[in-house]
Amino acid sequence: MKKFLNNALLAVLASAVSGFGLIASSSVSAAGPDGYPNRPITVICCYGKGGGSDQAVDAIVGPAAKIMNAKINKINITGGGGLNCLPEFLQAPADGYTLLQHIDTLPSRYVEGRIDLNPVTDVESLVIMNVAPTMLFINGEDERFITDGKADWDKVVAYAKQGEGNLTVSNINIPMELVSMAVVENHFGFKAKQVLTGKSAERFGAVIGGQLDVLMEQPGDVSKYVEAGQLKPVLALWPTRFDNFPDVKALGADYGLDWDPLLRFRGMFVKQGTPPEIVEYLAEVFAEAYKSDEHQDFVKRKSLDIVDSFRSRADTTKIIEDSVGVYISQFRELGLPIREGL
Amino acid sequence: MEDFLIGTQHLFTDPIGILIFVLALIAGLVFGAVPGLSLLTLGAVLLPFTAYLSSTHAIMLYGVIYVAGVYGGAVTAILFNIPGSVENAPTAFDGYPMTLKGESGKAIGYAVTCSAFGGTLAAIAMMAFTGPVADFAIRNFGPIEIFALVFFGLAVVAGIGTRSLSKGWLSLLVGLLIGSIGSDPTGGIPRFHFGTLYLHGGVHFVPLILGFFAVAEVFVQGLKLAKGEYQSPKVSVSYPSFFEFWKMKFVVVRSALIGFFCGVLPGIGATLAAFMSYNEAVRWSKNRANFGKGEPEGVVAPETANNAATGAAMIPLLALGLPGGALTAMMIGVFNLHDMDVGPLIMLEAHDLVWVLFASMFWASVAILLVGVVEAKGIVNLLRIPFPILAPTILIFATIGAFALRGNILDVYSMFIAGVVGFLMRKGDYSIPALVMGVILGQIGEDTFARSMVLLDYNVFAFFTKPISGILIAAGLITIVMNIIRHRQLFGSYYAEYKDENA
Repeated sequence: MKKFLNNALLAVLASAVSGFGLIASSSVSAAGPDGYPNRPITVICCYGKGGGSDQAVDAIVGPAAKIMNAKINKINITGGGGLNCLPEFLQAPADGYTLLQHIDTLPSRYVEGRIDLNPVTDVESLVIMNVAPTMLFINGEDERFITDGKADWDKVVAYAKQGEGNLTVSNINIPMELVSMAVVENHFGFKAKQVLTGKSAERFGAVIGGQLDVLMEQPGDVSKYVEAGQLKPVLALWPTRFDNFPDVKALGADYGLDWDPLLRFRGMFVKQGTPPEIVEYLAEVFAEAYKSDEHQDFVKRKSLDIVDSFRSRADTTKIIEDSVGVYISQFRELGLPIREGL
Repeated sequence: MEDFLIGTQHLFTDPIGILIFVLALIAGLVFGAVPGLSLLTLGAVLLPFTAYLSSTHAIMLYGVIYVAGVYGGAVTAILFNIPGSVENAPTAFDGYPMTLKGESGKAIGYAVTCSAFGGTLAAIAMMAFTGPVADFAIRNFGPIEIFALVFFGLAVVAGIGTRSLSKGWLSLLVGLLIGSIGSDPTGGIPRFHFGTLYLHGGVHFVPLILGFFAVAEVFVQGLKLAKGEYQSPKVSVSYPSFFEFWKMKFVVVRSALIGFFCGVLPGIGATLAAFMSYNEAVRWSKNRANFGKGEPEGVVAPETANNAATGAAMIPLLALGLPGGALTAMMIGVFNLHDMDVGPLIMLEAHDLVWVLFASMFWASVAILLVGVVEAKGIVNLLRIPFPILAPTILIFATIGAFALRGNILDVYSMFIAGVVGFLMRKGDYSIPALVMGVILGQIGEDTFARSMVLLDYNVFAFFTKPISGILIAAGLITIVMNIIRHRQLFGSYYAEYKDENA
């Protein structure tokens, strides 16, 4: 018991010291404009506890709270593929005390017409703290697609071209992934059979268990399976090869596709109408929180450093604006429905 | 065996570990037993605090609350017709009628013993077969086989909880319809959302269960109170005899196997285990007509299976990093908080920690038996709480529970609507179990059916081209036919009598 109490005391002291250190070393003032924040801030996380977004929020909210010397509460409002949280966000006053964590579905679902919240005019972007590229993976023991121990995308393409629907792809029903897969299909001239599910366990398991051929996923989410040899990356949906996977061919460098890849990003937002000085202050706080050791550990652990994972407020705003345009053109090209008036 | 002994030694030679074990056991039992405050609520509340515990203590904490919470939910299901969590819902089908018959002590006794047995058995299997079982499940059970399994389960549901087969089918179909509210699992096309974003995510089954069981029960008893017909359930502390347990041996073994099997399937977990084992208990029982009226097999089957599923769910979680349900998904978060990733390397990277988890889950199952026997004698006294105090307490906890699920006010509305509908259904002899199973199994079934159709080129007959799915679908079809025949034989005369009485 004594040991426990000592450990607890040490933990409290360490937290206090590290918190003090963070505040002391931060270039952002603990006090925001006009005494903001003078009460707890709420972050709405639109995805389930323990999942990727939830962990991303936890990882950045902790340091941010220390910088502001304020309490930040997180609530998870799940369901609807990340859309059920939006009414709660929209009903909150635009005072900087209710923040939204969301992903690239914000622009894509708007373009699709699934939500009326315009990510360009109805929200203020703060920062993007996770940017993850997308890759295709095969089962690590699938000899059909392996040459000299390395995953061989050309073999996958050859197999896919043997017949429409020959190749099966484990994917998720989110426009970013669907559009990306359609781009791959169009470029290589085959049509795959896509099996969609939002449950990551089933999505990964289908390829690890050999029931489906290819998995579309962000590398950080499957790094443990790659390390264990159960999955092998076979194609990077990126202009160049990644340093972490030098043997894995890239769509741009190896196959000549001139395409700006769609990004899986996780960002923080506030409502349009929030006082500008609070918006700027929050953006600075989260930018500083991103650099903290606590958050950088998370970034490394989740392999989110494969590309630069941070985007400033200005960059985030531009990415959101550009994303709307990109999704409009991609949806048009693929013949997918687009909201009226766009 | 050596690993297990070392894990046990780690667990019981560390005073903080023992303290956390005991507190987790009590918290799991309490949160599991209070409607709305499910073990998921507990898991979510504890998640951030686990960062301050050692990795061994944090993981062990979740293993113990998982085992204890799944059992705890049976208590209120039996005493008040309010399942503490979804996987305890089938326990209420017969547990509560047993209470009404003055057999609450026996019902809780069965639940305690079978939960402990199922959990212990699964813990042993988990320790012995984690690698090969996970490998078999992931290679052989995809959406096609899981859909066939769900179809097999649904086939028997319509005959439960009503004397009219047509009303049973109607209840099941309404359940399937409710389960289809929200975005469709393949195309993401929103259905039945009436223009509100809230319904895009569908109606969650937890508030429905709280409504159909807890709220409807309050309404039913409230009406009786208003009419002056209310009678407190009889308090009974009699425990089942050894002979009575022995008669359940086949139900227990079958349910443990079902529970273990369902628990192993990634993404399925204890809920399907409980419902499937209840279905199978009905299918194979000699006392089929007694189900829904206080048949002990209806308590034994789901309680054995849902606890067996807890140990089994650790297999895909640890071996493959694939969670079987929400709590196991939170456990991934706990591992991550401690810089560990579950998956194929965990047995190498954190060998000792995994064995402490195994040992803690084994001993938690054993502890349930010891704690539960004592608890069973005392907890039935909750029935002595006067209804005017109990009813609002239940409604408050149920409301908190429905809202806490995902912070969505729709869930509270859904719960109260379900309460009114459940009240009317009970008056009209419609089957609440069939409706609830329709919602739960329907949601799993639609998702897997949609994916199966893509894989089978939209040819429904192709289910028969695969051995496992072919056998399960054929067995389901045979069950439907047998169900119709048996139901006519068993209930034909009862229902004619019932119609005459109500004419």
